[in-house]
Amino acid sequence: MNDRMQEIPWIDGRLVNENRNKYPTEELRKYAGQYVAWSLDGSCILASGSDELEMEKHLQEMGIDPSKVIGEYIPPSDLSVIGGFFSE
Amino acid sequence: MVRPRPLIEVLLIGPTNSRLRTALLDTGADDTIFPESLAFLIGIDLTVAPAGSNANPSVGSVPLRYATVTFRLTDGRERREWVATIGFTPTRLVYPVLGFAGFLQFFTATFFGDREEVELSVNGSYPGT
Repeated sequence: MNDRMQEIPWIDGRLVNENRNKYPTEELRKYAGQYVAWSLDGSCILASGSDELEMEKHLQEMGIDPSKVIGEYIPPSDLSVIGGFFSE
Repeated sequence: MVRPRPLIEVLLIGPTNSRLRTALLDTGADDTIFPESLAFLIGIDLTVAPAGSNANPSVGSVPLRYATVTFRLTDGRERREWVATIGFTPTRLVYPVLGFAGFLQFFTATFFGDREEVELSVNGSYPGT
């Protein structure tokens, strides 16, 4: 367990946010409604899918370790989020 | 329209694997909640996990099963790691929710609305390193 813990990356949240904020909004809109995998520095999107599991499947097909990306849902721009849940 | 939200990247470590996710800080949430699919990915067996529910204004009652994870969080300067019991739900989430139990209870959170930034500082309850 200790060896595995040492292999798990620490990411720089501040850097991730800075890079992700630079990502072109028009490009990000293409992923609206999808689950994306950001690179560990937040600078690019490596894969996407309709949900978390499909995104991971695509990562594995590309030979990318799913534990070495940042998973995020990209909501539609007109969605108002309350408490992290979709409205029924 | 781009809506600013208090989102941060957190690492969840389970028995067999780990995953990084962007999650929503929610001061109105009693629980910290992630999707059940993530529990599966990091090796948590929810079949024997204690169950509960959370009342949500958007979707009503949200079923939860609770399990222990290790959280990791860093801003590139400070590194924080702690063990917490959180809820996993089959209900579809826009974002995982970082609520009071297991997360915000260990931090003083300051929301700078004009800068669209949030600052987290560990408090006296913080149990980790």
